[in-house]
Amino acid sequence: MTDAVPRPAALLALLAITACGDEAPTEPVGPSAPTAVITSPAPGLAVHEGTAVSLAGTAADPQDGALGDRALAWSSSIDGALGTGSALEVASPSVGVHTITLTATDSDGNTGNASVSLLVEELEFIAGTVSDPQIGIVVSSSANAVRLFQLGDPDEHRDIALGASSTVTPTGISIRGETGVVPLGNAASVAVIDMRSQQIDGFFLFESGNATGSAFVGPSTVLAANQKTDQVGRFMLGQAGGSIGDLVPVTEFPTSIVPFSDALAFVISANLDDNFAPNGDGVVTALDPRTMTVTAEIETGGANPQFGAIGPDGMLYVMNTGDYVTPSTLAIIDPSSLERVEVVGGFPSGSGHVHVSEGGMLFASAFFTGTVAWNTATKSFVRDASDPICAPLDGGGCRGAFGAHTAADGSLYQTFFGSARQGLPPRIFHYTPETFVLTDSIDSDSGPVGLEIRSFR
Amino acid sequence: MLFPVRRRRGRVKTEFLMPVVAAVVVLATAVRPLDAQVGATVRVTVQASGDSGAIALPAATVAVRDAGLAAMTDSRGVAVLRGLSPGRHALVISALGFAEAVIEVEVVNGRLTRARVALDPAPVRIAGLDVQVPSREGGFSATVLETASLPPGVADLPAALERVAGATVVRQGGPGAPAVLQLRGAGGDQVLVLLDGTPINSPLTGVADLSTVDLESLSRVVVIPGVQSARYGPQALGGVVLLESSDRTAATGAAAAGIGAWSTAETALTGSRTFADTWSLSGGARWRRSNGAFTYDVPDFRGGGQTTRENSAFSHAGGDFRITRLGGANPSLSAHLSDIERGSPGAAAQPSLTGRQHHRRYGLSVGIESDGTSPESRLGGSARTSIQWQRAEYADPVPPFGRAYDTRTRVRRWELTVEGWWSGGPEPLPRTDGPALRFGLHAARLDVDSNVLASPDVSLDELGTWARAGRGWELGRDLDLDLGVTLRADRHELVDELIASPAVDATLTRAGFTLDLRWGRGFSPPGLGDLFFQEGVLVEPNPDLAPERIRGELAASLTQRWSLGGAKGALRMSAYRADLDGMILWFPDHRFVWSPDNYDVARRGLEIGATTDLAALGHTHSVTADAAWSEVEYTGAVLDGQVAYRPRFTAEVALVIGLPAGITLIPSGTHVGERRTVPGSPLNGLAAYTLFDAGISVPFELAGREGRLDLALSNLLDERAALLVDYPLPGRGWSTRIRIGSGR
Repeated sequence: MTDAVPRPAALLALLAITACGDEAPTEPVGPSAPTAVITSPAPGLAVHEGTAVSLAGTAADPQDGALGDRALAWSSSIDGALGTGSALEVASPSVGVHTITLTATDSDGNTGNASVSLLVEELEFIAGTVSDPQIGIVVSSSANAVRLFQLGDPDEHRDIALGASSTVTPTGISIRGETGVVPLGNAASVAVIDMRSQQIDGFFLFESGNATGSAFVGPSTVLAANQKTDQVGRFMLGQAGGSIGDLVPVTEFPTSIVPFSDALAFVISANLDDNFAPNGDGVVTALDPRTMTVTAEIETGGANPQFGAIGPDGMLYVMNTGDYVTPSTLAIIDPSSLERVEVVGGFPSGSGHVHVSEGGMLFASAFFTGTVAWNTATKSFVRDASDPICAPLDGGGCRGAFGAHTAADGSLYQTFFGSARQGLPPRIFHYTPETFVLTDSIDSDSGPVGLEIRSFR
Repeated sequence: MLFPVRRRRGRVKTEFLMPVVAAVVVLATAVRPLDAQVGATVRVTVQASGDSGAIALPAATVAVRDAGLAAMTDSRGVAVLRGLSPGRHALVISALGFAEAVIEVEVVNGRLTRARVALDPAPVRIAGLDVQVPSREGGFSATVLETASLPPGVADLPAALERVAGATVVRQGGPGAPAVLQLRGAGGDQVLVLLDGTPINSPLTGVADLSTVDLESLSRVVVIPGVQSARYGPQALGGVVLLESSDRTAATGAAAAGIGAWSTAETALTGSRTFADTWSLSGGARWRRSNGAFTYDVPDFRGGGQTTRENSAFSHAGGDFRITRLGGANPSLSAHLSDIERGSPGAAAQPSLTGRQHHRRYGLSVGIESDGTSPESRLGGSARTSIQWQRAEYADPVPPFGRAYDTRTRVRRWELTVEGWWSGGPEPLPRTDGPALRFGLHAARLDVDSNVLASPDVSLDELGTWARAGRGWELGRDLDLDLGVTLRADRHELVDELIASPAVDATLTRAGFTLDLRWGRGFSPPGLGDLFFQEGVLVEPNPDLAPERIRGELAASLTQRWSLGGAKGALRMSAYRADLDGMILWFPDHRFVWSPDNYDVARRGLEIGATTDLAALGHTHSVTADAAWSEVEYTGAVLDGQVAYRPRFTAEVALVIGLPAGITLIPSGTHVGERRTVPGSPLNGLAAYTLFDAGISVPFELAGREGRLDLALSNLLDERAALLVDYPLPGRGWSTRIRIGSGR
């Protein structure tokens, strides 16, 4: 497979290169020498590092006729001999401008050559590493920044500063395509980030308040919640002006939004009063983002829900964090009937962020405990509060966790806020798939909280 | 997630120090000594008259008219004239910012003649920043600001203090906005600010809001950098600021009024009078207001563009009164009142239109002081008791984010201070050719009533006693050595143990060269806000919270005074290392439960400055430049880099240009280096900025009374600056002020 790189700079470079060196096919060395022809790659092809390149060619000899595979040898000006045959795949040519040469040798030992140029570009940061295209995206609430790191090379990272203001209090990010949306908390606005360039493209503003949750509900349509005004608003990435409009009142203290489809999104409201005390059970508001109409309000069966996620079974899982003392509970809501179907207990107190993997494993993270794993299919704990997934402390106990997210291989990444008091730096911990054994500890900006993992290649 | 409100509260390369030290040493030896003659000798001690006694006045010129001799006073205010012929001579003593004095002395061949003279401040003679008289206060290098001689445009106390080398004033906005002083990289809660001996630091947060002090009520401001617990007790880690109210015995009277940008207006009346050489009365009343509504840049995440800083108006009224019976123990009674009301506009990113602040401070003080003087020895003492009430109210019924709040804090502070001194020599304490002893006792009781605290009513007792012994030696011709040892013991109710704070200082003086060395320790107990906050979800107290301590500050300063032709001046350099153990910060533990805790900080720095006075075109001009470098870095395993909001580099420069008719033009500039905003993170730093100001002062006479007209432009280049993120400083502004009469 070849992954062409139609980039202006690369094409310009190759135009110069091909004008100077490509010969396809070359003239035979002597009257009885074979003639070689390269049919793939096309002259001037540019590919990213790590992309497999297919080589194909033929050769004919005046005496021997068409030459067989053993008579066709491929070589690269950078990587040397590549192999023989009329068709060959080079798994990962080195970065640089290659001259790919096909050398045909007839039975008399006469040779004929053909060459093409091939540009192998180094991968952009956002494309990940050759072996792993995934990018971890961490929102750092203390540093007011978003950190991107390559899962294949966690030391390679980029930071996007969101603003020094103390009103900038980001906690999460929503991503669609190559665009990220970060609610800025007390700044009452939302930053739109170009993930490829790691630049802030612009901001969308509430008139005032506290921008908390956000969600894409279309390629360029975004919902944002306002915890202070108890509203949810909508904006389009290409709209004129920077206002978040189409405001819809929802239950008090909306904290996050879970998109289900472009026609349905769930707003999770903690339902707290001005003193941060529960008014009652939390509420999930079902909203049609196209018309900004509320279609249902569903009580979560517990207090202070803050996060939720859609499972592969299509169900909405909402964590009732509660009072940080008594155990948290998990509400399961059926998006088709818009009813709560079950409330599951036994989650550690203070559980907040939830993530459900493609395999149906729900990971709930808690300040006091770490992360527990709960199988949505069997509705049972795989790792419960007595044996959480956590980075241990010297002398026993667990570091708390703000969030967790699985990678494509099922391994788990977990954010730890850090504790300067105890000499524990902020970290992103990495655990093996299934067994969840701690394998790596990744540097982080101050106060990592929200975590997403995406591939942008 | 809910985030509890959290409180966010240096290393000089030696290779950089060495060339500077070498340069100063070369200068010290190369520049012509000011006094190197033989014959009859006169030793003159020059002092600046102040409200709490005279202090040494360096850089004063002592000239013998008939002999054509002159000398300049050193850091102790001492000038020595040699080679005088026996007989009577008229000595003319002059210093910038002070009225010239003439005294006569009788000198005898082969004998040392001593004389002492006190110069009165001369407020009409505007001298700009050169009124910052480097001095020594209780054995410490200090900067003294005579408020009567501050340059035009210095309208409030924060503006006066931000011109002191090594000082950074963290203003939250324009006129009347809260302002806190950082000294040598120490935070506002580590700088003790005393108003006539009584701390004005908030017992909750530890910081002193300089904006609540009316500059018009002060006659003198003394800034003593470095740890001063040995003399002043708790909280004096980064330094001490002594605010001294006016206290006059001469008949004075002055009226001032001014207007300025942002609808600023002010008026003040001060006066004093002595009756029958027995009773002295002095007092004043002031009022100042501003609507504070300046234009600022809106951050991009709030839409960009410009808008007006609403809800930042303030009104400040104050008054003071003092009556003293002259003679004997000089008993005195004084009272002061200050009331400031202002808007609380909050963060510029999401300003509040409804936040309000109201500060009131009033107090009474009774004191006695006796300074028995004899030709060969001095014995004196003083006692003062005072009571001060402070009331602070903060309210916002509709804040842009967070909960509505209405906090009220009342503080009543009673103090008793007793001091005694004895000197075996004729020189003023603590500097003397003989031994000297100074000692004191300080007791205070603090009653706090605050709905911010978990326990609304808190009472604290403080008791400290201290003593200082000093001795001076003349080691040789022009070479003097002074040594001092100070020890203080404090029993503070917020600290479990008795804390001893020692300090040792030494001064070596040769001609115009002075070397000061100092070592000291200090401590600051946790603030009430760190101990008695309201617990809640994810917030809990720390029973192990310890005082902040400096276990061994080492400081050195060099001063070289020089003269060359018609020019004279001084070079000065200070270096210090003052690691701070246990700075109190709020961070979470591994469960995200927030508490205050102690964190170690390495602090060190270097300050370099120069002042040059020269006469040209028939007028006197001067230039003053200071630069300070302070590294204040975390040393823990997690946090690193410079502490947030501590600029590594600051600089000030000012010119004083004399013009005909006594007019003075004073352009100046202030530079503040870049700052971090997040502990342990270089992201989202604040850019450096430089502000330029200019002022002109025009003296005049009206109906036989002296007066002056000040015009000032601030932030000439309309720089958009902020020392704190979210709290922009105003752009270009102006002010004009007229004053008639004498005294401030």
